[in-house]
Amino acid sequence: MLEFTDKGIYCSRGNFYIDPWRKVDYAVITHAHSDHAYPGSRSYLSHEQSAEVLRLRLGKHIQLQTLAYDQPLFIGGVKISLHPAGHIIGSAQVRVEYKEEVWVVSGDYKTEEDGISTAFEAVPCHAFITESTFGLPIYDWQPQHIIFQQMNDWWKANKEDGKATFIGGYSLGKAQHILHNIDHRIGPVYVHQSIADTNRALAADGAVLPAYRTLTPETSRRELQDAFVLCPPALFNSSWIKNIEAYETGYCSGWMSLRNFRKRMNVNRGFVLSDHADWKGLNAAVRATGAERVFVTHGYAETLARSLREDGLDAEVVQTLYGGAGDDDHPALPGDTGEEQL
Amino acid sequence: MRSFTLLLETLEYASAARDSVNALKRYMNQVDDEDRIHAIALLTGRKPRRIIPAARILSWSMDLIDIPDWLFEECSQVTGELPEVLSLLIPRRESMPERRLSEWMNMIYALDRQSEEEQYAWFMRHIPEADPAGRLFMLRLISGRASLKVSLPVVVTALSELSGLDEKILAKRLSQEWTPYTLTYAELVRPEERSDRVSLPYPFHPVIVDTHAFQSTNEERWLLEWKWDGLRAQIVYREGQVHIWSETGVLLSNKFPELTSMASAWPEGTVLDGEILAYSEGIPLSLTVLQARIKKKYVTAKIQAETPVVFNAFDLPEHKGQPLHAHTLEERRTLLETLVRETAQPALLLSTLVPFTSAKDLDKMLALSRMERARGVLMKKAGSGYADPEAHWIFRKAGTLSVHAVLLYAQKGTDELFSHYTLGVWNGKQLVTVAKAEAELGTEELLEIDDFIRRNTLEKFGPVRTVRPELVFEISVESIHESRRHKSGIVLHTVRIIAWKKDKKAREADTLVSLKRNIM
Repeated sequence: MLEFTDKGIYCSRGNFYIDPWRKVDYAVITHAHSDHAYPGSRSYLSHEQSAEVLRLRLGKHIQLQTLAYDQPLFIGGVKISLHPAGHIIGSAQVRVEYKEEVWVVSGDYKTEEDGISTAFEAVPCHAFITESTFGLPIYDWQPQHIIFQQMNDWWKANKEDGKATFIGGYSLGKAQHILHNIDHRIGPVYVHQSIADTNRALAADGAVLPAYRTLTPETSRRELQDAFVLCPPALFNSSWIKNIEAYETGYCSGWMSLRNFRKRMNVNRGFVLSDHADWKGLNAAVRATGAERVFVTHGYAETLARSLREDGLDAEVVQTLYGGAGDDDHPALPGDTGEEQL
Repeated sequence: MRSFTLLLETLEYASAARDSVNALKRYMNQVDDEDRIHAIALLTGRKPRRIIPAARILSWSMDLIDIPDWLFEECSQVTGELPEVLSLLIPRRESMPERRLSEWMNMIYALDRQSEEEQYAWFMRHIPEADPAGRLFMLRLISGRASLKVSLPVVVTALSELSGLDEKILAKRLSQEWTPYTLTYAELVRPEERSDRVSLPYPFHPVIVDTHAFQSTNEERWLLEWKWDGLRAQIVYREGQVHIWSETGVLLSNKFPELTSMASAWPEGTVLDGEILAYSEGIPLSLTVLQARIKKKYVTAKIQAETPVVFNAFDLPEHKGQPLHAHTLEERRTLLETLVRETAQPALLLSTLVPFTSAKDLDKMLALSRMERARGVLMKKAGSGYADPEAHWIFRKAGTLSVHAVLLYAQKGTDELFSHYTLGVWNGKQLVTVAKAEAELGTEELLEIDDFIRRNTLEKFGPVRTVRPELVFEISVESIHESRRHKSGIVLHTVRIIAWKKDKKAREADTLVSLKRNIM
């Protein structure tokens, strides 16, 4: 029912693409990260909580139709519906049904509840297209409450030492994930302008975020002394931050579980916190769908596919352009190793 | 144990010594005395010997890890060393009680006396209890791969701030023979005793580096002295004991048994200030040679023969039990000369002093420095006391070497311009990397070079570009040393990129052979 073309995942019966990387007539978008939502298509379909953020990234005047989770839409006899992927606010799996055959495109997903994105739901299907960013058994996340406990403790310790706390994270996804879970009683929380812009767009679509302050050129460095500052990691190399008297830097990503990635980031602390499923999460998600056929895309696709085949599933690798820049769990940011990219 | 592995992570990525000290203090405040002494033991390099060979750890771990071999292989390729991949793959046992560091260490030390079967049973039962960081730490420890040592001054400063004890006293107590089973934390930080004082050096007379032209005044008489490429130290001989202290407060007595036995022949109550030098056939060798010897765990007779050392004495803060603070440098010097002459020990040298009559004397000495294998000249006021903080000694560095090298790799600086260069010199027909630094050039030149780099990039590795080897730069170098860690076989100290030599062609750059002629 779905084909893998050089423009993206294509449904010929409904004549639409899912997360196309070329300009097409009709693009169904799983989520607004730049490797999944490309500009220039004639019209878009997304989850309602992705609408403003898509307009922010792709242009105010895009032709966009939205759906709530589980709300069906028929195109050329094909039934399309969106289901929570748990990756970021408004992220969706795309379910496509025609004549009782069901395919699901997962986009990016995580199986652990993060408290801010609608929790992942397994959608029964015949064919499941899964990502594999962390498709090796060495990626085994600890529950996020443990990680946030560590992050709170770190902030408290920095505060005691009179140091500002800077945490790098992508403006859409990790930023809201952290903002929601960090303990705001410890001190003031600031976000970088780019994150504030994203937050505003998300709030316009109904996301409820805790109160925060926005970092501006006028923010005095003294104000930040006991603060927790969410910013894009690029800020760590700026001359602006180097003028702050005392600060610590941290970075959150699934890659932080590996020492060589950890070292390359050159930050004081690494937190193993991801918006993608770990090995167990990927395997559990695939099985929960009951799918007979599995297509594995971006990440350790060969490895996950082989492991699923050895367990008796019909799994194969498909080439897509997902997994590029745009999401700090993709390796492009911490210093691309190449091998995880397709 | 979670707090200890967190401490290790913080220490590994701390950017300043103060941050390390604070992290260690915070840890010490969170744990009990037993954990404290174990942590200090590990951080000062006291760890169990290798207990279980890596091959056995691998095969035991595979009994816990239930994945096919090919998948294990894929995982190993992504991670670094073996303990890391195992620590990530061994399944976690959820909701296990958090064990203290001392509990783990007691178990690990006990392992050493156990049979292989007992060790296996322990491994299967306890390794999965820890979190990945804890497991990594233990797997490294039992396989003898852990290197946890932090710089001793960090440990000493933290302990001193926690206990209020003098840093030197702590340094002395820490450098004695002890294990977490022979010394308690309370004993380590027990109040000062008279015997502690006996070992202590004087605060080292401060030296400052001066690069300005010398302004001579007539009121003061100055003395000039070579500054060798050695390690400044005080040798303290009191009540039959010798203690050798580095300027950073590290006790080096057991690193230099020949100097320790030499000092035992001095009059009771002698403290000498000077430089320890690696020294061979009348020629002082570079500090790197000496440091390589200090790094060795045991100072064998062979090492002593390979890297002979001398003590080049230049001051005498205490003589026959009398502190000489109030004496002038000239008065101390007279006593020192007598002491060196009377003891007549071949490894005890007396520094060469040159009276300063005019700025020409200084220039002459600086010009001779490189040939003499000295790092420069120390200037001291003849009438100054040892403890006089106003009368610091002035270190004037020898002139720098100028080297012409070719741009090979470039990386962007904070302003998005390519300004961090890696440069090479000729080794036969090949260019070999010798230096890396940020260019100290004007914006206009940087822009021009930036443009060249963008147009002449041969390859990209992440942020690093390989550049067509055409541009020649003049670099200034303080000194050149032998190095086994560098492909070129040499390492350049204090490199500055000072000029772009537009008129020079790449083939006119210096050669490795010519650089090696200047090795200290």
